[in-house]
Amino acid sequence: MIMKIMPTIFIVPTGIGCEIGGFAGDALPSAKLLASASGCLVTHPNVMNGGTLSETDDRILYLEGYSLDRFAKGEIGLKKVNQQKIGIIFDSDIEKNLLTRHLQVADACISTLGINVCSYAITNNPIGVVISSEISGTSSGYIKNPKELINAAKRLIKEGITSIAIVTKFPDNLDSHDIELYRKGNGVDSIAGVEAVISHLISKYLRVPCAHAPALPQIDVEESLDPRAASEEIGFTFLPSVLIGLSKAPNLIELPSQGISDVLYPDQVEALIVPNGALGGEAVLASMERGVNIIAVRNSSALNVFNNHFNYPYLTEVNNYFEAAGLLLSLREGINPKSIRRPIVPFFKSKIN
Amino acid sequence: MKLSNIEFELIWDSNHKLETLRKYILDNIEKRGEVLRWSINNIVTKNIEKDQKIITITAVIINK
Repeated sequence: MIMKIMPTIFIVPTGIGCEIGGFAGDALPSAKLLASASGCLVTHPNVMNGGTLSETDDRILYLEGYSLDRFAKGEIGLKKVNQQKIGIIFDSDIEKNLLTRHLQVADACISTLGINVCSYAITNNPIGVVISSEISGTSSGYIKNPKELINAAKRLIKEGITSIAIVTKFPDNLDSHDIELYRKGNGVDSIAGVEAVISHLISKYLRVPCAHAPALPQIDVEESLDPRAASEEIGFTFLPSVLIGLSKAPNLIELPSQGISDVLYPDQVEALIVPNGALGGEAVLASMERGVNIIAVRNSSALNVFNNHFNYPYLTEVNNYFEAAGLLLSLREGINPKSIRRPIVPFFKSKIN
Repeated sequence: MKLSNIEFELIWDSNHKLETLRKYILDNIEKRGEVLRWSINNIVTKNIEKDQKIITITAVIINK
């Protein structure tokens, strides 16, 4: 018997310090579990990118956050591909040795993983990353020269590239206290917010699959490193996970479209999974407008935007991703979740007026 | 083209149902610039009887 798939969106917002997913691809095992339960999971680089480590799964569609919001809003569909033609943008501010390390990542991904990394472009001028913290304790920032990034992306697209990895130089004077907290598992990833800004910019203006890796200098060994941050400390760059993710990222199909087969359409999405205190993102609100089942998982973060403010009726709060997977499975199999929970509310209380 | 981070508060009351909240927020961000990234980062109840809440929005906007 072939079980039908249940397309599901899985979000762990970037830069809000989630206990699961706030570090280096540490929500990836949860994504694999949820993909197994749903049969089709749409998720984003913050979930899948673990610096040096990542993997592909035929049931997981890797989609940058801005495009994921557009998918949730019904603006694009997703079409699976065998392989993307990847181009890389390098910030001209990256020093020679570090650039060489990144070029060798591309060599490794071509020679060892069979990924189609085709060409690269260096920006004409530095991109100028600026990191800032929001009052709410989340990470954010911006770039001084967005046009440099867009122009480099246009050069790659002109050469036939279908997806773009972006590598930008981050400031050498990052707040050492924030980094120490993060490495010990206590803080927000201070560079994650601006990473999202960079990739959003390419998604908005170029409308191709993309993801970002920061170029950072090596740092001293931390004996008490939190395991969730470890995959960012075992290599010279964070580029491998980006190239692995983009290698099979779906094409973005502008809607309405006609005559394109094997497209996942937004109206096929039956569930969205998100941390319970992070309900204020655009994809979540757009999904609420569409009546999608929302599974809110207890996963502490810097945010406190819970359903008590929205009273969205199709939201179920669960304790962890194991429960979320079980709930997905029951929905996928057509088993009423109320039948499994206790106590069961007597039916006489279900009368409508 | 210039990017900047903004944070501001909005009153959310019964004039805006959940189904129109996103548009209400986007309309207010777009008064300040073209939106690139945004989210609600906090909600507090202002007046229970009037069903008024204060929502805090953070966004990255583009000005050309």
